Amino acid sequence: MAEVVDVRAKVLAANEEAAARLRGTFRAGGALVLNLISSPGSGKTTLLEATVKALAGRLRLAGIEGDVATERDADRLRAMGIPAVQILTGGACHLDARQVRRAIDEAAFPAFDVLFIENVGNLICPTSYDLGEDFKVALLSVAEGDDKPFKYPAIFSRAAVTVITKADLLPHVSFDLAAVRGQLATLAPSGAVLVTSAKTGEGIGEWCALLEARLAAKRKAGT
Amino acid sequence: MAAITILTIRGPRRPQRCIIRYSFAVGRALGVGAATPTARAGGALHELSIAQEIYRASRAAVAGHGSGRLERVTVAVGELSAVEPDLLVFAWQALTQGGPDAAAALEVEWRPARQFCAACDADRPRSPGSWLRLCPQCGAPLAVSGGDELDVLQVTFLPDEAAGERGGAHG
Ligand SMILES: Nc1nc2c(ncn2[C@@H]2O[C@H](COP(=O)(O)OP(=O)(O)OP(=O)(O)O)[C@@H](O)[C@H]2O)c(=O)[nH]1
Ligand SMILES: [Mg+2]
Ligand SMILES: [Zn+2]
Repeated sequence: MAEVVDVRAKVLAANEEAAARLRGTFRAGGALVLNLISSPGSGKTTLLEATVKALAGRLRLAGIEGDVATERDADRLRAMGIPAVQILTGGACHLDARQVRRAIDEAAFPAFDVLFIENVGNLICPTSYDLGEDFKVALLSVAEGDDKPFKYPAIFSRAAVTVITKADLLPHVSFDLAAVRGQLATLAPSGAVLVTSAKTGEGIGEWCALLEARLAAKRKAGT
Repeated sequence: MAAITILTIRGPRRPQRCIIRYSFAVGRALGVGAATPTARAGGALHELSIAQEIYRASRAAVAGHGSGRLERVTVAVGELSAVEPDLLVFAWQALTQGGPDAAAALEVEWRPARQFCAACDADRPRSPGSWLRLCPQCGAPLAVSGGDELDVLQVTFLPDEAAGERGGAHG
C-alpha cells in the first residue's frame, strides 16, 4: 500500500539555505556582492574590465565567472590584475549558491571590497537562484533590441540596477532608450538605470560611483 | 536552516509528526541526474534543474520514511515563478525515465498571483504573459500577492517489503 508524505518545502530550499549562509559570510566581511545577469555577449566581462581599470587602487575587487565551458572570462579578469575564479557549469544554465560556496572556499581570495559574480549568459534561469548577493544587476546591450524588458520581465523586475551597455552603438541600431526606460520604470519602479559604453567610457564613472555608494551604505548599516 | 516538515503519514502507519532536514548531500548521494542535459532549449533546461531539485526533495522525503519507489509527487507552481508546468513535467519524465522511479507522476498545482487595485477596489488580472503591475483600468500600482510558489507539497511512494517490516523505526 502506498504511503503519502506531506512535504512542505520550497523546491529551491537547499539553494536558499546556501545563499543565506553566503550572505552572512559576505556581511561579516563587509563586502558588496553583485550578481550580473544578461544574455550572452551583452558585455558583462567587458564592463568588469572597464570597472577594474576605473577603480584601480580605490577598491579591492574579485570576480567569480560562471560559464558552461572555458576559463576565458576568469582569465580576462586575472589579466586585469584581480583575483578571479571560474565556475564551469558543464551544461547548466545558471549558477547556484552551492557552486559559489565551493568556488569561494577553493579560491581563498585575499580580502575584497566588491565581489562580482558574472552569471552564465542567460536572461531566464539565473533569475530564480539567489547567490547571496546584495543585488542583481541586469545588463542589456543596445544591439539586443528595445523590447527586452517586457519580454524578460522576471529578471528586469528583480534587478536593482539595469545597465544598458554598448551605448556607443546607439547611432547604428534602432534602440528606443526612452521606451526601455519606460518599461523598466513599470517593472522595477525603484530600480536604477545606467547607460554605459565600455568603449567610450560613457557612464562608467556613474557605475563606479554607484558601487562605492552601495558599499558605503552596506558598511554603515552593518556597524 | 530550513527543514522539511512531514505533517502526517497516511498508510499502514499511524499518523505522526516528525521533522526531517533536507540535505543536498542526500540528493547528491542518490546520483540524481541520469538524464544529462545536452542541447536543450534554455527554458527546458531551467525546468530540468528544477525537476532535479524536486526529485532530490522527494527522495529525501522517502528516505525519511524507509525506502520505496515514488508513485506521485505533487508540487505547487506559481504564476510568477518562471517555471512552465508543461516543460516541468517533460523534464521530470526525462529525468526519471529508465530509473527506479520511471512510473512516478509529477502533478502540478497551478497557483495564480492575486492582483488587487486599491483605487478601483477590484482584482485586476493581467493579460497572459504580462508582468505589468499597473491597473489596466486606472493605472494605479497593483498589490500583488502570491504566485511565486515553487514548493513540493506531497510525495506518495510504494514502500519496499523490507521497509514495511522496519516500520516504526523512524520519527
Ligand atoms: N561596441 C561595443 N562593444 C562592446 C562593448 N562592451 C562589450 N562589447 C563587445 O561585445 C562582445 C561581448 O562582450 P563580453 O564582455 O564578452 O560579453 P559577456 O556578456 O561577458 O558574454 P558571455 O560571458 O559570453 O555571456 C565583445 O566582442 C565585446 O568587445 C561596448 O561598450 N561597446
Ligand atoms: Mg563574460
Ligand atoms: Zn484601478
